[in-house]
Amino acid sequence: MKKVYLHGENTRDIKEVELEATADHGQLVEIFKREFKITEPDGDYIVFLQEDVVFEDGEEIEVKAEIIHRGHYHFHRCKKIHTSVTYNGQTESFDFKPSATGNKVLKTVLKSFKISGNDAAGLILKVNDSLILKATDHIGSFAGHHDCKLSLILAPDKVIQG
Amino acid sequence: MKTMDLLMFEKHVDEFEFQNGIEQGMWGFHLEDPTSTWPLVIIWIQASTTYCAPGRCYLRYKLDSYPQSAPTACPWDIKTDGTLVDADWPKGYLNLNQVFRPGWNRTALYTPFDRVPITDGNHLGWQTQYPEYWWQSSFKITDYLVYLHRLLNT
Repeated sequence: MKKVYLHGENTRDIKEVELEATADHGQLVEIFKREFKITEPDGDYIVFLQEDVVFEDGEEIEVKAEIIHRGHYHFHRCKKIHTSVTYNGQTESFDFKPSATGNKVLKTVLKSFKISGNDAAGLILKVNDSLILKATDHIGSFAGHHDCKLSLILAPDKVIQG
Repeated sequence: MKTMDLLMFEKHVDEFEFQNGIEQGMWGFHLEDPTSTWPLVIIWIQASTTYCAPGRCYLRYKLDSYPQSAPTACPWDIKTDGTLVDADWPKGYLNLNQVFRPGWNRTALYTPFDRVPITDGNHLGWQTQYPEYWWQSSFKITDYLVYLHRLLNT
């Protein structure tokens, strides 16, 4: 048996499932549909492992054939998430694959805004006022296939005082 | 017989988010049998060496009545099996220095996730100021760890 983790589209809910050692991608897709209750798929879903190349090289999809034990699999209709990040009134745009983690996104964003060292300390990415993008979150958990877009705010974390 | 707080703790650490943190090297248990000293549990959190020289910050959590009551934690010296000396507490930038404050209390952290400040009667304003961090019985140990991991790695 192999254990894998399933990440759906526009949901933070992560499913942990076991499947036969000989299972293939077709069976994985069926499990995805069952777990995320997708009865009539609208649009083309792609299934890929966390580390798979999804949209580089002219949007070719390179997906490993073998199901990896303890692998993180994503089931998404967006090959990339068009992400805008606003910081101090300035907005920059990025494209991330749905499996990009909050940690990777933050690093990319800080580099793009040329923020480093002490200036970067305490900065966080927010999906909205009350929802922080955690280091382990996947960006595809916050975007749907209708527009494959996400807007984030780069802001200082609340300082505990008082 | 296991107590309800221990059962709830074991349930929560068996869930995906906690296990994923272990797998990603974000945190882990110090002891092979981490709950052998229940309700005291030592958990390490991976940290930037800028803030915590060894790259790992060990915390001793006190988890009685978990999760109805908030956990309380303090930096722990695994060699001496005692509270870490003040000079070695994580430090670096404003928010981190606010949370890790041995000058305020050497047995707890200054955060709304921690039992000591939210029950000492001096920080009731935090409940409205920091509602996302103010401990609720629906919270899990992972929420506290994710928060500290972010502070220690930003």
